[in-house]
Amino acid sequence: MNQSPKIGILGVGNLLLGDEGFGVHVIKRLQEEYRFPGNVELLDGGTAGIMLSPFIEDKDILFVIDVVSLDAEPGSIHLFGHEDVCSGNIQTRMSPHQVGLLEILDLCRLREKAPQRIEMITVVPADLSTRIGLSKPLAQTVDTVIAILFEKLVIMHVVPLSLTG
Amino acid sequence: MAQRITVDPITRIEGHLRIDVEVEDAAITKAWSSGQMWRGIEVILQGRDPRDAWLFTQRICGVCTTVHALASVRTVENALGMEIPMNAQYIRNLVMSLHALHDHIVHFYVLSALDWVDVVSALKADIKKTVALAETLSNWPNNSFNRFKAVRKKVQAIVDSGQLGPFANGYWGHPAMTLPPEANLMAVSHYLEALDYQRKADKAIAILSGKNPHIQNLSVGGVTAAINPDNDTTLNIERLYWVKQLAEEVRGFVHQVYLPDVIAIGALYKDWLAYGAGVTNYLAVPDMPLDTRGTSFDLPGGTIIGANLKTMKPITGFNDPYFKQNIVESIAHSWYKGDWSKHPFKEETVPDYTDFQDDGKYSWIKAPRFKDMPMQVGPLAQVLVGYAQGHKLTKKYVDDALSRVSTLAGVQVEASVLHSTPGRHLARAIRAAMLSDLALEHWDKLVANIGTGDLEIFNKPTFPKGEQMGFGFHEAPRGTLSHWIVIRDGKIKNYQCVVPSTWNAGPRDGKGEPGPYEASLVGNPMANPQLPLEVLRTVHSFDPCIACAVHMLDPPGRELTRVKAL
Repeated sequence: MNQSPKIGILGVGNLLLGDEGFGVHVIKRLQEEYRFPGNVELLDGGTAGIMLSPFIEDKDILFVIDVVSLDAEPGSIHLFGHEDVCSGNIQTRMSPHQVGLLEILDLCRLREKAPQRIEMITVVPADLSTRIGLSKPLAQTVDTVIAILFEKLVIMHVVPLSLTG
Repeated sequence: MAQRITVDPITRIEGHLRIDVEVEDAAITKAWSSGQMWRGIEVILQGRDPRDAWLFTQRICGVCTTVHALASVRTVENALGMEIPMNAQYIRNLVMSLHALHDHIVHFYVLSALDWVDVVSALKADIKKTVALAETLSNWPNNSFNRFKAVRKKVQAIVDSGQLGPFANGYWGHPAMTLPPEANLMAVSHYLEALDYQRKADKAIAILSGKNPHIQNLSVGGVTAAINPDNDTTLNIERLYWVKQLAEEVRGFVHQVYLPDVIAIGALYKDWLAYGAGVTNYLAVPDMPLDTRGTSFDLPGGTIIGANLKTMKPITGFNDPYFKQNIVESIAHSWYKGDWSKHPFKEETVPDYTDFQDDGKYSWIKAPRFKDMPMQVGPLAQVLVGYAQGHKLTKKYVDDALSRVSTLAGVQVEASVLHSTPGRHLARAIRAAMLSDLALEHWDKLVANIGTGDLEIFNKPTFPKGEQMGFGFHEAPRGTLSHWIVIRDGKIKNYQCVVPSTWNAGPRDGKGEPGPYEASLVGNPMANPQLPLEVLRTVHSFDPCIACAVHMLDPPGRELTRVKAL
């Protein structure tokens, strides 16, 4: 590839439901503490649903940071490629909010506009109750998740610049 | 024996609609609609500056954002008796119509088309016949042999892979799915295109409003979108033409794809035209104001009682006393302290949760009533009110759609078929066609007004000592939205939002009268209670702005199946 690939880092989740907002917390940290080259775009995707599709369809490589519902220890980190995660069990749509991320990724793929490569860095949540902020096990995971992300970026010749030294 | 089915949210996002129905002899006999989440924005607003209210109220939702922003600034302007500059009206009208176009397109294709369209059946479609079917509906360039062939191949690849993706939870092969394979293939092809056009509408909103969702260009007294034809950083002619181009592209899709698709589905599901009427009292408010005070409009408003178009009474302006005086909210069956019906200016919001009581309190949603009657709101209400008034644009599109449905269905249908589940979809598509024309008209008006040298966008509000009351309405994608404010010494004393989904999804009132969702479900057929497709069809036709998933309980309360979000 002559041009640098367009890389997206997308954090999703609901900030009001404790650990559910993990992806958003990670994006905030990245925005506050690092500077990225021009071919990398960060997005706090919140719970934006279908409105995420322009961001996704515009990228060659997409990293998604999110929580995952797995029978595993809270705070444990799990990596997936898009093929590993199937949206087969998505609920029936009842509202515009209900178009989930996996469903949007599938829709982008159907439209042949999906990124060539999608990687998901996910953690198992500990506390999904109504509050703002991460539980202790998840707060401790943020640094590790960022380190994993950076390892992957470095392979793509992307070196984030630390603003905090 | 009656079987109880509960359709209840299990969701990571918000989840606040629960529908319970009782089924006997393959038909629904009783229904309850319950809001499972408390909003609370009204309480947050108390004591705040009224000029900030719109920024808070648009956070009620991540989808219906623009609408609360607009209703809120109109409310404060009404309390202060303000006029706003024409440029501000036109810019607001453009934003409002583009937002509704985005919303109607997403609702039909992404959120409800799969209730009617069997994706797997599209594999059996004959490509030539699909082209022939599409040609009878419109001359959309993408209705081509090659395009349909490519889409069928894509569907085949998904089905072969065993990963149905976004189509995984459809009710494929359900006995209520009766479209021919060719119609299914055409619809899937349009489904994949719809995403591009809702995005174009969104983009146009962002050009005018700074960002989207949650626009940033309103203010009490006007808009903050500075106009200067000679400045690169303001709303200038280049940006205006960009907006126009996007609006034209969206209009093409609405006229050549969305409206014809809904006409075809309505005709091919003509049996359904008999189901889902429910409450046939209708309420719509006028919108797209044409003057600084809001006394004349491009979209009509009014009420209709008991499906009788002759009862139509118009709502004519931002200060209409017929609207202002006749609304109350009842909490007889809602989780608030007491049992009263009060006018929004007088209401309080004191939560009092019990559990779900079939005959008692069972919802966070209050039950709004107009002259003590439940009212259905939404595009259907607006279209019927316009039709009853002889509103030119409405009449043109309704008569044309009915004649095309009649031709395709092979039976003559009258406007009375609009009181139905498919009728709500058809009315929404008709409204979209009207809005797509009006958006461009208001663009012309804006540019002509700027051409006269008028660059005004804002009148400064002043807050006198003492108490002022005001209300503001907006005909939102899901129907009549109104905000109500009491201001005391420049601060918010009371704020109430009476939203479209409150009108439609609200519970029974003090007299036991059910709300529109509840009434519309009773009498619907139900082929298989394990797969309640019919419930979804009818509830979806209202465009519910409430999240919900399906899990089913048998009568003693044991969970049978459950669809769960990741």
